[in-house]
Amino acid sequence: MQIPYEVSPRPDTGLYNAKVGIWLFLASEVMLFGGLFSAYVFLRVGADYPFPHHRLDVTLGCTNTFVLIASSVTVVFAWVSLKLRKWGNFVLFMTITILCAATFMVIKGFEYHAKFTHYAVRLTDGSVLEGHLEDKTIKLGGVEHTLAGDMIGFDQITEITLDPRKYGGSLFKNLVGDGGTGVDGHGDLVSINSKDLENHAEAAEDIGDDAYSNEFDAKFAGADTEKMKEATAAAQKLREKAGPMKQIRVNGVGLDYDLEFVIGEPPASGESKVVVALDGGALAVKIFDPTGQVISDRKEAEMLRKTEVSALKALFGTETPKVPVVSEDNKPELIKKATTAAGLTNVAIAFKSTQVFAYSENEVVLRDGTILKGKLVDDSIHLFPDGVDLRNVEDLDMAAAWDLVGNDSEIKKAFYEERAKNMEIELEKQKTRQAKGIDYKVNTRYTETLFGFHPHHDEAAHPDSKGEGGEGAHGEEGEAGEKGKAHGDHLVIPREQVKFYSNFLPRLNTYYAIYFTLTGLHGLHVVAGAIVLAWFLFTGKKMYDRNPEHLANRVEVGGLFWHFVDLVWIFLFPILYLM
Amino acid sequence: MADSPEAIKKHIKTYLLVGATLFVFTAITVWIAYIDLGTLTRNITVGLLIASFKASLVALIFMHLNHEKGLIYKFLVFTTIFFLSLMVLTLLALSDPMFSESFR
Repeated sequence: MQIPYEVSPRPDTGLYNAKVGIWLFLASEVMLFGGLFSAYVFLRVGADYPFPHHRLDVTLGCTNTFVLIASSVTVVFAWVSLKLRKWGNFVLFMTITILCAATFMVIKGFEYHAKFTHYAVRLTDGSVLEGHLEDKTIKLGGVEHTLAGDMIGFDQITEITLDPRKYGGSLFKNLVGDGGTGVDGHGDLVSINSKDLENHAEAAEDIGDDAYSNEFDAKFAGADTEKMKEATAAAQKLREKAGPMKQIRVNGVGLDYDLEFVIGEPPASGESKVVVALDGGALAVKIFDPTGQVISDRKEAEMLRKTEVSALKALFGTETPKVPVVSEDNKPELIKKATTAAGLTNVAIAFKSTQVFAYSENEVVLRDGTILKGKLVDDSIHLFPDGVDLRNVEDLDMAAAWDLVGNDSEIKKAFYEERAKNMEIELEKQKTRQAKGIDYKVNTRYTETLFGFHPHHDEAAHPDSKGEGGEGAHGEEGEAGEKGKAHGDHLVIPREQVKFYSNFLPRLNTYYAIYFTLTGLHGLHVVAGAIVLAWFLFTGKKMYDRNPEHLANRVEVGGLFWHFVDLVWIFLFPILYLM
Repeated sequence: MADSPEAIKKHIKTYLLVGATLFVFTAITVWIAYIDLGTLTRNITVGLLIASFKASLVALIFMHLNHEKGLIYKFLVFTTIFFLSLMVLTLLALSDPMFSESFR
């Protein structure tokens, strides 16, 4: 079928049809990106933490801006070449445009890679160490294994309880793999008596199908508060037996290790505890400080926010069924059978911390509800630091980061030198401002206690350490960086001291969330645009010979989209990299 | 007609000039981001103004909005209105119901 008005303009609009189409599409694209830009403003204005400022690699971002602008120019010239009927020139300019798009995506890839491999570790006092994970060697199942620096190793596992009610132990089975060869694709499983486990998993699955439907009926028949209370009490008993958890995490947020959780009476003086009380069916939480006093409302609210009450609920009650806790007492009869069916020997497994919901010295609960009983071997985080952020610490000298890095370390010295230098600049600023009659207060807390340095390291062994680093954490880090080089070894951070850690991905904070959303969507546009333009380049000759004006119009429309992609980046670059 | 081969030949210089201007202003954006203009707000304002200038150049020259047919401008009027409302929406983040009339 012949589509009308693809070359000659339609009389009423004065335009060929494709142009009307692309402009309507671009109008909707403006809405799409507009909504996200507006989300960025909301997140920035509403941020309850110092919003990252000058934290991305400006050189890469700036290079990408030049690359996109260059491609915008060449795509115009590709269109001009067609209008002037010069096929050779069109091929040349279009090829350059597509190469520019590829360059843009490769550079973007480097930037993303730097984010994926760069970690921030928040310690219990709020100080943050940034750096790269170092592989560690731990002995599991009698054999030494080299694992990623944040893995959690469990040995001598004697009992595995799959929870068929929710996810059927799907995560665990995925870890173990189907073949039962002992090592799966993830490299997480170290050694296991596979036959036993296979039988075990199968049995649990069969039983689980029945158990699941019963459970489902019960849940939707109406809440039985009496039963819930019983279950909560049973869960409490189990917890008492197991001792305090070493770590509890919900949605990636770790809870306070210092605090033990009990249900009922407030603790005696000298203990720091969280008390969970059943209060008319709903769970109420009170936090007591070491003197036995209830912590003030404001501080309590603050602590509650930090420690995610939902996690407590999930741990103690059956109110929130997403995270199942199966205890000896509330476990349905059928599941009990599955548990005892196992006769495991010489089982050892290492987990990524993202796979774990909670664990103690002798028990680990996976995110799918699977419970393993065994012996915790190693859960430390091995980190090569390249930055310190003390903006949330009251007393810089007492920051927990220094205990780990070393109080006499070159890093600490360099940090203070840098800080003194910045302070001087700030004071100078204040002086000149006040001379002009402008009210200006030195704000050191916001910027000067964030410090990045180039680690002294074998570059060949750790090419990643250059990527993002503390680059641009502040303008003049060169000198301090040199001094940081005296520091050699990586840190071994005990898990008890880690409140939260993550690579620089959306889960770290809202800035990286919106950064990845905006640049990711923009990157997809670059890829899509490049595919369309490449299509014109490689299949256009036929159309050019038949009706060159038709191809010119197509390229114009494709070019309009391409300019729009460039236009979005013109705003993205300063907003994300420079402001 | 504005898109005739003769007219396009005349435009070639303009396109190159616009490309060069965009390069220069990108450099200026980076440079100005590290200059202390007094407050962060001022730096942000200047940065956005430069970005808007660059964006207008792309829209007017590369996207031919300096000589387009009426229908397209009609589309863009609505686009502008909706985009601006999205931006105005962010002002809600600064509003506090405690101090609004309806709360008294």
